[in-house]
Amino acid sequence: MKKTKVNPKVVSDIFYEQFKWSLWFLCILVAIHIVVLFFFPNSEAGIVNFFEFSSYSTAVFMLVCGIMAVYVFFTSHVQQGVTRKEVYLGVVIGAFGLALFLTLVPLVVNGVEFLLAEYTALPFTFTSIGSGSEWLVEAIFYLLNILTYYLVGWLIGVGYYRFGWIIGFLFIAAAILALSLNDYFLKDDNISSAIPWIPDIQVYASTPAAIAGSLVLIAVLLAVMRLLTKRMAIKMYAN
Amino acid sequence: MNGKIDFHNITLRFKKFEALKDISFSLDTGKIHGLIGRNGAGKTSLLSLLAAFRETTDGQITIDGEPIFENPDKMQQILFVYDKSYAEEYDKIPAMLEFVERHRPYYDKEYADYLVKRFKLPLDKSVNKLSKGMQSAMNAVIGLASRAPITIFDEAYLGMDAPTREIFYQEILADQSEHPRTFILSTHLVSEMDYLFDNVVIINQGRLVLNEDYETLTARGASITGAAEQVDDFTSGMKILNEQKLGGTKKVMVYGVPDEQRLSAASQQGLDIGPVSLQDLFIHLTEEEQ
Repeated sequence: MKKTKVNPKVVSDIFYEQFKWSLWFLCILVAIHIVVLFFFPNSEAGIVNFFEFSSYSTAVFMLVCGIMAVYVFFTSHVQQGVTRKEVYLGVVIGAFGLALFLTLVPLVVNGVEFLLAEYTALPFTFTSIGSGSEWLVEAIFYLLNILTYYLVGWLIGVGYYRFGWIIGFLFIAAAILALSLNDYFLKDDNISSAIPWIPDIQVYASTPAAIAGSLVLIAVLLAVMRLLTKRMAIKMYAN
Repeated sequence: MNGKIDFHNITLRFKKFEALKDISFSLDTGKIHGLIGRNGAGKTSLLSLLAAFRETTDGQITIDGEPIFENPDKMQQILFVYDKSYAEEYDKIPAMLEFVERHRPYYDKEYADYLVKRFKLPLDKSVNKLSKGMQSAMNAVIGLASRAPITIFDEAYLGMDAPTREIFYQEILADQSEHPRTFILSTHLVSEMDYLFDNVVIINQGRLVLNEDYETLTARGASITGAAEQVDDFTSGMKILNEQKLGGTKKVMVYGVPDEQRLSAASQQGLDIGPVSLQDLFIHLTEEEQ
């Protein structure tokens, strides 16, 4: 039996489809930010920069893409003779590509805004991402954060797809847990007050620990998704 | 030609409900197989297993001896066309066909274009706006033009009007003669499609009833018409599928061919021996199982 390899057609199908959705999303987001620029005057600290401004919306966008992934990509590809493993790899690589793209675009837009504020007469000042290597760390956190949101969305989507509404709620609970851990690693959140067995240390304060924690969470989510989709029945009808 | 399909002791259970019960049979390559069964007999379940849409609870399906589930080579050979919901499909037909072309190595674009014209399918409307019959015709185009070595049409004619169904059947036969492959057509429109079948598989209530060559199967049935008494005498001891009586005349449908001698004796007695259609065999063979 031939071993399944990464199927480049499947990867590009999945990436391209979500790339198209993300262009819509980015256009709308930039438009909203421009509205904010013109209609809400500078506060003392300056206008929230695009990178920071986009971070929550991008995460939610990734979550939604993840929820839709199983519905949009599994049935259609398996019907064309593609194996679940090939679709799985396609979704994983596609999600990584999308996360990279959605990290780079806000960085670039952010750079353009700074240049405009610096070299034109436009009366804007923006909050700063950080100096020196700080922005790079912020970018890595941003990437890991939105990738995690995608995988969590995918988890919820597969939970509903496979098990229906009632058990689907358990997947929402698992998703909330995963996102709490994500915030614990990547944001200044203190969840140890809510979840007693999590040690009360500021993981966020140590960059390597935060990145390592987040990578472990991503690896666990990837493993869980493979197990959930490995032998999954493909739904023939929408209900 | 490779591509022999073997079903080895297939069982499929959904919680407590057993949809398929220990089914074993083989399908030869390069033939048109008719899969017939009543509503809920398990046709779609069986086909969804062959398409690797789901895994068997017990048993295994192989093609040329290799299990098909999650096997990239084998899954690529199989195309399962079924009554899919296109309510959320905002793409137009050309985009749908491009997707198929991308993933199906034997896809023939010229043939697809020809079929789209033949079925008079509109190219500028999104698929969810098409009528049911047109969506089915699009499915037919996908199934035919892909030229997948194993092409499954699961009640693919739903919603098609009679002339469209006729075109569909003609195209299956025409393409089969030029590009032989294995077709599996599941249907309950038996009388309309029986001339397409080389081989017939009947399932009922999750069990295999028979898997036989079409000619052999239909030759096995006979209808005997004549004076009631003579008919009763003649058919005693035979497997009777159905009886109809009109005055002193009786028509009995039997299954299991009487030998030539008996048949010619019957003719001499003035009994009328006629063929039995697949539809009749289907109705009575599956009725009896209840």
